[in-house]
This record gives sequence, C-alpha cells and structure tokens, in this order.
Amino acid sequence: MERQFTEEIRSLRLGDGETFHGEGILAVTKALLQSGVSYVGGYQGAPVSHLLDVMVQAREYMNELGVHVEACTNEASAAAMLGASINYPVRGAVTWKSIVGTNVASDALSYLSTAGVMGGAMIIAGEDYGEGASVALERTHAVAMKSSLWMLDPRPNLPSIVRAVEKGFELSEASNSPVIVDLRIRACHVQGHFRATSNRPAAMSKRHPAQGPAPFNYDRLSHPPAIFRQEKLKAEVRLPAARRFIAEHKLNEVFPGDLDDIGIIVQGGLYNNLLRSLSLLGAADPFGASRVPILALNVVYPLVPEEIVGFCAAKRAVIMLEEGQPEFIEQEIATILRRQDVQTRLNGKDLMPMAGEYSAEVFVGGLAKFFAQHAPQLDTSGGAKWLAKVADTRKRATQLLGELPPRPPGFCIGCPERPVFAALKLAERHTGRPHISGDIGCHAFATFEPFSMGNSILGYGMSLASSAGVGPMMAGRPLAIMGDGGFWHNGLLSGVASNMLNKGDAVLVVMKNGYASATGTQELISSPPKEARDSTGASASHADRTIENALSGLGVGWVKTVHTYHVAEMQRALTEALTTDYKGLKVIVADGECQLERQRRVKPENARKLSAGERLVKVKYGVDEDTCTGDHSCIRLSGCPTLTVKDNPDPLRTDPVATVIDGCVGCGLCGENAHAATLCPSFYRAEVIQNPSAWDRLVAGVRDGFKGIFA
Amino acid sequence: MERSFTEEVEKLKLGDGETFHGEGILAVTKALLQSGVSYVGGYQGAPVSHMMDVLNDARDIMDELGIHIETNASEAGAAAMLGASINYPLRGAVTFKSTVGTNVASDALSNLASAGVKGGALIVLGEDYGEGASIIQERSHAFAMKSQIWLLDPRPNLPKIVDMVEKGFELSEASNTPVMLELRIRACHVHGTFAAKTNRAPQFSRRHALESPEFDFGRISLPPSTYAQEKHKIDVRWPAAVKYIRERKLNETFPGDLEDIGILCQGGMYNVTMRALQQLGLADAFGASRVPIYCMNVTYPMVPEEIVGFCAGRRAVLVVEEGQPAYIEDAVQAALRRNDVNGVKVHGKGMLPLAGEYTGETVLGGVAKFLEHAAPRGLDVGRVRAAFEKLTAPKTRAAELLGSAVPARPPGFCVGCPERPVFSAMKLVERELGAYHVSADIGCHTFATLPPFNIGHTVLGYGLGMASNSAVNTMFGRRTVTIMGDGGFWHNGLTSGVANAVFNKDDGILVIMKNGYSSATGTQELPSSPQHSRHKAQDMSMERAMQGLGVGWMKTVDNYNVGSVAKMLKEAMTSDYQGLKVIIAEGECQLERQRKLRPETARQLAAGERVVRTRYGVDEDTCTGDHSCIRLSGCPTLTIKDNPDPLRTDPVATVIDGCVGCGLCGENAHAATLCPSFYRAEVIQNPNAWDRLVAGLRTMITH
Repeated sequence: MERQFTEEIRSLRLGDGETFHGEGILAVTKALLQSGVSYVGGYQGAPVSHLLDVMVQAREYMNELGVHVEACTNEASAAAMLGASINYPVRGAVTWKSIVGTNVASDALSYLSTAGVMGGAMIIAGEDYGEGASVALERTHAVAMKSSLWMLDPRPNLPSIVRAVEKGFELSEASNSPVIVDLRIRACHVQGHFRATSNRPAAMSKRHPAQGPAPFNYDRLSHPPAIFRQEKLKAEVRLPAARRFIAEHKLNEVFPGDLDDIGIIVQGGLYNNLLRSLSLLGAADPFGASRVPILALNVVYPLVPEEIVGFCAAKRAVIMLEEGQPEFIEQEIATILRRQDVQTRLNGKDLMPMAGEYSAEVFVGGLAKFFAQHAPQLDTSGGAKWLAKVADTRKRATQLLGELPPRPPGFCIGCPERPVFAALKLAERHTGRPHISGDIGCHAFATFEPFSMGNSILGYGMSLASSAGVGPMMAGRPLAIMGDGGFWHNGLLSGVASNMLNKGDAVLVVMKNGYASATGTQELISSPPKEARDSTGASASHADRTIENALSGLGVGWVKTVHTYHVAEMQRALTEALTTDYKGLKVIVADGECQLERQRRVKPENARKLSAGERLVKVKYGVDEDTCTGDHSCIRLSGCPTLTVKDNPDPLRTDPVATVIDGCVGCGLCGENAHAATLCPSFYRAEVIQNPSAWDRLVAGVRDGFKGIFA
Repeated sequence: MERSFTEEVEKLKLGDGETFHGEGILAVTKALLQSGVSYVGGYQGAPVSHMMDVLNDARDIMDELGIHIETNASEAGAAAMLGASINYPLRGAVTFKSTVGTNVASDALSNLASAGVKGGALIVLGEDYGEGASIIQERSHAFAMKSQIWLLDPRPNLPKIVDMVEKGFELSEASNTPVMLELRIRACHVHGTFAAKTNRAPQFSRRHALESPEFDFGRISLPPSTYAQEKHKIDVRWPAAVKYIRERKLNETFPGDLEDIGILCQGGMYNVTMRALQQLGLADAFGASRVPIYCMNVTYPMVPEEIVGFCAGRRAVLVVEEGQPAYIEDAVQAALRRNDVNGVKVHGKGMLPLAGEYTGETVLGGVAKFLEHAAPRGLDVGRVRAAFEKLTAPKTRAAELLGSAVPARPPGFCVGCPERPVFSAMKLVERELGAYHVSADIGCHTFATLPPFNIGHTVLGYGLGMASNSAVNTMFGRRTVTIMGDGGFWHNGLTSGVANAVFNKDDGILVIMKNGYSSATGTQELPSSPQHSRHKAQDMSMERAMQGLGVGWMKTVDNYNVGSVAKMLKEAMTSDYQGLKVIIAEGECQLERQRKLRPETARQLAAGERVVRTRYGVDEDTCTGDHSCIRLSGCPTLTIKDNPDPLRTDPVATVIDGCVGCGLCGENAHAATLCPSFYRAEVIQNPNAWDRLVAGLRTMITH
C-alpha cells in the first residue's frame, strides 16, 4: 500500500465532543462509523482510495466494532454487496471512483434500487469530473436519475460532509432507496475539522450475527412480476418519501441576501467556488455572507419542487449553476416552474459553459453576465479586474517563457512496465507497428512520448475485448496491453474468455507488477505473498502464479512469462507472438514488481543497514560521456526521468550527451536497451558500496593501485 | 441453439427490388448488411437474441461479405468491440438487451463516446421495459444523455426501422458519435415488409484488411484528450447531429385539423398513440390523425427548433414518453422556456402514469384525459368521452363478473429441468439444518424464487449473486448459499464473485448450475458448453478456471441424484474448511437434450427400431394425498386428479403426459422418505422378440 494511515486510524476512535482534524474523505470514514455501519466495501480509485485504504489498514479496529471490510474485485461486486441491506436492517457503504466505477456498478445498482433497501445503503462516489480528472468526463447524476438513487452533493466542508453521510443513511432508510454521496476531488481532499461523536456498533453485524435469514419475501426480489410493482413504488412511494425527508430535515440550505429579487441555485459541491467568485465580484464578504440569496442543493436528486418554487417565486431571475452536461437539474427546474406557472427567468447553461469544470474563473465570467442582465446596480468590476489580472498573468508568462511544452505524466523511475514498451519498439522494427489496444493503468503512460503506443482505450480491463473488432480487419495481429488490475477487474472474462470462445488470434500482454499500482498499490488476488516480499529487495511479483494458473485454467495454450527488465528476451517473445503460426490467443505475462512498492521495502531496509553500520551495495548506472555519440536513441527507447541530457564536456562536440542523474534506482533498463538495440557502448554500471568490508577496501585499494600505475 | 434460422438466412440474401417479409429484428439484420458493416457482435437476451442467432447461422453470407462476427463474453466486451470504429472507417454493430446490457456495457460506452468514432457505430438495444419485461425497469435514454450517444426510437414498422438503421450509420459518421437504436419488444417482433437492397460489402473487412494502424492521441480516452473530447461533444458533435437530423428529416410531423393541440411522442410510442386516437374516433385505420403529431424517431438529441416550431401557437400539447424520469418532457419544457414560448401548456406525466408500460389501454386513458382537458376547437369532447367509456366498460364488467382476481400464473422450470432437483435438495437440507440466506442470480434458476420453492432472498444482476453474498455471509452464525448459472459465471461471476471471494477469504458456498448453455436466452453456446459449433473453442471448463484461481473446495454432483446433492450441500454447510466452497450442479438443459433426443427417437421409430421411453407415474392406491411430492418439485407434469377411491375425498397425485422421464419425482420421494407411490415404467415401441416374450410371460402371471 502506498501510504500508512497509522495517525488517521487513531482519529477514527475519537468519541463524543472530541475534534476530528483531517481530510474530507477521512471524515467520511469516521462518519460511517458514527452511523453504525455493519459493512464497508469498494474499489480503489482517486479521489476516494483513502477511504478503503484506511478501513483495510484499520482491520483490527473494524473487527472490534464488528464492521466487515471487503476489498472488492470491481465496483459491480461492491454494489452487489449492498444487497445485504435489502432484507436486513444493516447499514452498509461502498466507495469507488465515478463515473467509471458507477458505470461498472450500474447493473447491480439497478437491481439494488429496484428491490429497495431496509437498512441504509450508501455509495461514496468520487466524482472525477473536470480538468484533473483521469477518466472520461460524465456525470454520476445521470445514473442517479436512471435508477432512482438519491444523490447528495454536500458543500465541501467537513461538518457538511459528515452531516450528509449521517443524514444520508436516514434518508436511505426513510425512503427505502440507496443513496449516493457525491464528492468531487477537492471535497475529498479539503482539510478541516468537525465535532466527532462516538462510533456506534451495529445491532446486526459479524459480532452480533442474526439468528436466521429473513423470511422469504418475493417483493424484495428484482424479478418479474415484483419489478412492475417496484417501479411504481419508486415513483409513488419512495420518491415522495425522500422529498418529505429532505424538506423536513432541511438538507438543502437557503442563504439569504439583500438582493432578493434575484437568486442563485447551486449544487452543494460547487458552493465554495461560488462564494469565492461572489466575493471577487463584490457580492459576498470573505466570511461567506452573500448579497445574493443562494439555494445550496446538498441533495441534487431528487429536487423538492416546493423548495424550488418557494425560492424562485418572488424573484425576477435565478441562475442554476450546475457543472457538467447535460443540464439535468436546470431542465427539471424549468419543468417545475412551468408546471406551477412561475414566470421567474431561469438562466444557467445559456450564460455558463455547457461542459467542463466550473472553476472560480468560469463562475466569475458567467455570474458577471447574470448580474449585468438582472442586477446592473451591482458593481462587479472587481470580478472583471480579477479576470483581467488572471488573463494578463497568463499572457505575460507566455511572453516570458514562450509556449510551455506540455508535461504529461510518465512512468516512474525504474518502472517495470517501461522495458516492455522499449522491447516493443525494438520488435516493431521487424514486425511493423501493430494496432495496440491500450487499457487503464500505469501502462497507459505508454501513449505519451517517447513511446506513443496505444490506439484506443475502452475502459479498465477492456483492451483485449476492444481488439476483437480490429483484429480480423488488420493485415497484422493487433496487440492488447492489460494490467493485472484490469485483468482481475474483468479482463479475464471480457477479454481472455471471449477471445478463447471465439477462437481469436489475438496477442495479449499482461503487466504483472503485483498490485493495483496506479491507484496506490492496493493488493490484488495475484499480489506476491508476504514471504516473498519480506525476504528480498528484488522483484517479488514472480512469486505468485495466479495469473498464469488462471490463464491455463481457461485453456490458453500459449503463455510465456518474461521478466520485463530482460529487454532482448521480451523483444523475442513479442516478435514471436506477433508472427508465430500458432492460431489462438497468445499471452505474454510481463513480470516485474512495481518499483514504487519495491523501493518502499528497499529504502527503509537500506536506511537501517546504513545506520547499523552494515555493508550496503547500491547499483547505479551512468553514461560515459566520451563514448556517448549524442544521438539519444537511448532516451527515445526509455523516457526514464533520470536518463536525460547535459552539455557536452568536449569543447569540440556541440550536441549534448546523455547522462544519468541522481534518483536512478539501478533498474538497468538503459543498459539493457543499449545492449538489445545495439546502441553505442556508453552505459556503465557502478556499485556504490557504503560501509565497505575489509575485502571491499582491499579490492578498492588494489584497483586504485593499478589506476595509479596507468594514470 | 433453441431455433434454427435456415429460412431467415435466405432472406438476408435478397437484392435490390425484392421484398423482405418478416420480423422486425430480422429486418435490422438485413439492414446491417445493406449498410456495409464490417463487424457485428453482441450478447444474447430478449428481445434481440435473434439478431445474433441469425447472424451466427448465416456465417456463409458473412464470410462472403468479409464481415466478422463475434459472440462477446458480455455486453461490456461487445461495446468495447465498437472501439474498432474509433480509428478506422469501419462500420460495426452490436446488440444486447437493455437496460441490463447497457448497464454492463456502460463503461466501455463512456470511453467509446468520449473518443468518438470515425466509422459508424450502432448499438441495437432491446428495450425491455414494461409488463412482460424480465428485468428491472429502467430507461436506456439515461445512457444517451449521460454519454452523449444518440438514441433512435423508430416508429415500429419495418421500412422505418430499416431506414433508421441505415440513417443511423450516417448520423454516427456525420457526428463522430455512436448511435443506439432502441427497439421495444413489440418492435422486435412486429411483422411486415420492406423493399430490400443488395447487401454492401464493406470497404475494409476480413477480405480487405487495413494495412497499418493509426496513432492519434486525440482519440484516446485519457487526459488531456478527454477534456478536449468533452468540449468536442458539445461544440462539434452535438450541433452536427442536430443538423443531420433536421436536414434528413429523421423526425416526422403529421398534420391534423385540430391545430390548437398536438401530441409529441417517442417514435416507438407512435403505433400505440395512433391506436388510441383511432379508437377515440380521431384517426383512421391508415394513420391519418385529426390531432397533429410530432413523432420523434430520434429521442436524443432533441431538436429545440423543431419542438418550438411544433408547439408554438398551440394551446396544449401532450408528451407521450414511456418510463421515468420524464427526460423528454423536461427537455421540452426547458426548450420552450428558453425560447419564451409560454402560451402552450405541456402535459405528459400528469395525464399519463409516471412509471410502467404505456400499453394501448394506458395511452388510451391518457389521450382521452388530455383531449377532455384541452378541449380543442372543433372537437366534441362528449363524443370522445363516450367512445372511451364504451371501450373500457367491458373490462369493468368482466371484473365485476369474475369477482376476485384470477390467480397469478408465474413461469416455472421446464418439465425435466435439471435445476429443479437442486432446489428440492435445498429444501431437504433446510428441513434438517434450518433456514439459511440464499443469494440468487439471473437465469432459469431464478424460477426457484417462485412457488413451490420460494428460495432466494435477493437478485442483484447477472453473475452478481456471489458478490451480493459478500457482506451477508458475515452476518449469520450459519453459512449462506449463492446460486449462479454457468451463463452468469462466464459473464462476470468468475471475477466479480469467485475471485472476489477467494481474495477476501470469504467463507461462502457457491452452487453453480452447469446446464451447459445460456438457456434462458435460447440455449446459446458458452465457453463451457458440451457441444460446440466449429467457430467456437472447445476446451474451456469452469472447474479448471476455478482451480486456476485457487478455489480449494470444489465438488461436482449429478443434479438428479437428489440425495447426494443434499448430502453435498450439508457437507459444505458444516465442513471445517474455511474459504469458498463450490458445488458444481451438473445436468444438461433438458430442452437442449430433448432437441437432440426427439429427432433421433422419431428416426428410430420411423426406421422400425426398438425405442425405450421412461415414464413415471403415481400408484393412486398408495398415494396418501398429502402432495409433499408436489411441494418438492413443481414439475408441470406432476399434478393432481380426483381420487378414484370413492371413500377418499382428497385428490391424488398424478403424472400427466409430457413427462420426459427425468425421474425427479421418484428421487424426491426416496430422498425425503415420502410415500412409496411413484413407479417407473418403460414404454417399449417396436419391441423385439425378447421384449414380446417377457411381456407375454408377465401378462400371463398378472392374469
């Protein structure tokens, strides 16, 4: 695991009246325990990974409370897990990244929401929308509407978030519907504090098991004919119950202001940005007092028509601030107002951009237009000045620096996946470039320079499935890349089993780095066993064979496991897979442990050795600057951040030479590449010995002696 | 396979000017070939199973045209396959049942829609909404809005459906966006004709391969491309789609003389709307309506100019939109508000129910209410009222005459189904060990939730039974059981369920129904099917797959041996083994078995060969009349009849014709120690000399 949460786990134990300090997503974790959950599950992904990571690390305390924690193999499993709350009065929560996770979960969510729940069921969705998101930009709101799941979008501060969780469970139970708590990336990472309450052990849990199962109740099965009734229940019972609860408990908030002939309706999650923008526009003070009345929708679905009408009725105009497209809320408000014949002017997407993140800059621009139309008396010049200043800074920066080159992320130093793409570049010289179906995971960085490999990405674990249509249309075999994460998430079936069933002729590379690395090196079913990790600093991923066993279990006849750092061997395997006469799926398991995880073991161990005065050998690579030809093929085959250029020390040569800077972890790829691609022989390997032994000293002495002779 | 499509395959060969007669979904198949698709895929499920089934049977035609056909492992795989159209000018189509299939496909669809397509990408959705649906009630429309995928909803008649397939590809290419074609169950099964066109061989295909791949970072669904793609959707693709829809007049306006009102309907609702108008005396049988109609053959994106144009100047309009929430109505209201068209009153979910199918009766009621309320100039509302009452009176009268409601007749297991015995065994185990929680799944085995078994606490989706058990199994002092079919296993259950349980060291019990096929959808082939067409792999087994994942406790049982199934379940419930315990309940789908058996028996009979058929029966003198045997089986051939004994009044059990001789009734009686009234008989046709001799001797003794 990427991070240790020892401190954070301590704060999970806080009791009544104590103050919790910390991150938004950890506040959610605490709020779950305060709400008496019986079980928690999920699938990792930014920005909500920490929720589950903390729970997994706090297993002992969870056991004490009787909370069952499950690290699910995908979001569909997690959503299905909430099925426990259909028949029993147990509260449960699961978490994942959205929209992708919600997509994967959506079938289970449909069934769950149709059946309805008895115990509170909650989904903590990390809404990854906007610039900074790593996934396709879509709104979770769509799924809430589709399946009649209620969606909370609390104002991004800890007390509001905690209240949303606690009230969310009550709402879920009051309306027999699952609830989504939607948290944008900044809400997950916002720091703050709230007054804790003591954790509540659940009445029914693994510590207090039920005596027997619930009596059989056909109406709780999502199966015809019960589904027809359930669909009506959703519309006629659960929806009104939810609206009643939302109104009675005042989950949405109205903030008054003196300019009360206009108003702003905003998704709760955008409230902070809105306030910042209003203050820039001179319509709010820095403490959050706005001159324009605001209706903050901490529940964005369902809306309470009476609240909307009540807020809008006496106003000339309101603006709906809703991030992302399409404008679900604005359309619903238009319907509500039109039905009730409220003639208030409704602005929204006409003044604001339809798509993309609503940053403060975007808000200031849109609100300035709104105020110009409906509150011309308001002096918004502050906002215009600020916008001008931002634009000016940007312009000046460009003038001073020139167009900055984009700096896309890339593989870590020593990443075991980089050599695979180096090998593929070499193999291409003989086989031609194949169509490459990319996937989600660290290996997707290969789509950037210097590799530019990958023609499409169709979702996590979907690479092999996505090559099914391409394969038969191409003269050469396509290549699918998949991580071990994606393999277990769904790729084993959607890809491998499907290709086998259809007698496909595909080539698949499975990156076996041992963890779900891109999300924080969470464990997988095929993570190396603890013993392998404890005993050595070397790559441990080879110690687990579950991937290979699963492949042969499915009857894959061509499987080769190749250590990724052996570039030449990997090149041969790739060439063979792409050109062999063997008809059928060919799988290369590219074995090499995630370097981050490996270094997490190696570094403390090295530190210990150093301080204990023990002998320590560190491998470093370097470039002999006299031999380096300066053509930088080595860089184009690697992209390692520590393999870079420097001025040529030779005054007669002007091209910069390659150099290995500090930070090299000694993976050896640069040397391997130079060897496999027969580049210039400029790479050397050095062993840096700290706390040398007598023998080391003797050898070094002899060497120095020789050097002295020849010097 | 349930059905052979030899005849239908011939229709796929029709050329220019010939007339195609047949079913809606088969017309789609033909339209795909006319559109020059390069590849086709999908996952089976009513009402669109036939599309894949027919294409699978039409391999020769497909090979000739160079079209690749893939049976995808799941809808996610099918959607991902459309990725071929991202980089290349390839047309492709996939099909699945919706909304379940669209759910499963939704992640791949998000990525596909974000990247955008170069070649036309079409998703044929079987919209299974309404009374008759087998799945949860939700709308595919949600996905269209969520991912900006265009949604076609053609009027349910063959020429329009075919036209929309063809235009759908063009729309997809004109706007770089995948397109969904939504067909409700009646649209799939409507019969009709259309003038065929000659099939078009695709430019690139298996026969004309692409030479080199295309790299374009802008087409990869990764940041920063995704930000540009999101803007591209709104700034370029959406306007391009709206432009195409307007220019090519994909939506239709039908005029009428009652001009101060109007109806806006989804294309798929057109027939039912017309029928309602006709019954109320406002349209003739040929579709000429007195009420103007705006028929949306494209329900997403909507064309605000068309909506405003249709609504402006009218006093009231009715939106006929099936299902909830009311996406279209909301969009209509928003469009009118934005354009300051405030005079027209928009009705919809007030007049028509918010949820549930818009059947003829429902729409009739809604339209009648709308007409009465709107009272258009030139219409005698009283006559509409009278017509409506005349239509609805018989039903009211029938209900009065019948008194209480007729008993529900839920579906159940087939005669001889191999899954029934497993539930008999589960009942026996329950008697001994007490009740336990059962997580059910999607498949024939879900019928166990109905009487006489009533087994199953939850259904969370196809293949998700095991996953849905993961929290429940920790909450009891006793182990819980999950049921999963082999279909669900290969769809996602192996990863979402089995791998999940192994990884989390869950202590559950999983019963896998190994009947060999995806039976509930029409016995399509699975990776582990016992017999394979030559296009499919032959060597995949669930057992080896699970061994590969490290499942340590796995037992196989013969389903019809009820005693040993019960014993194995008990063992799993009480074993000290901590970890996932898998019972593979083996028994071939009886439908598929009979499909092989029947022609063979017929052949033998015709050839005069000896044929032995096993039948079961109940000895009416021994039968105690308590019917425990029925409560343990539910087989349609095991029923009751009047007691022939005048001294006994309770009816006795009897086995009627139709029994396939699976032997479950006898097995149950034995395993549960019921009364010894079951007998097994062998019916010998074309007996040989020995049979005759034995029979002769027997007859002599019995007399």
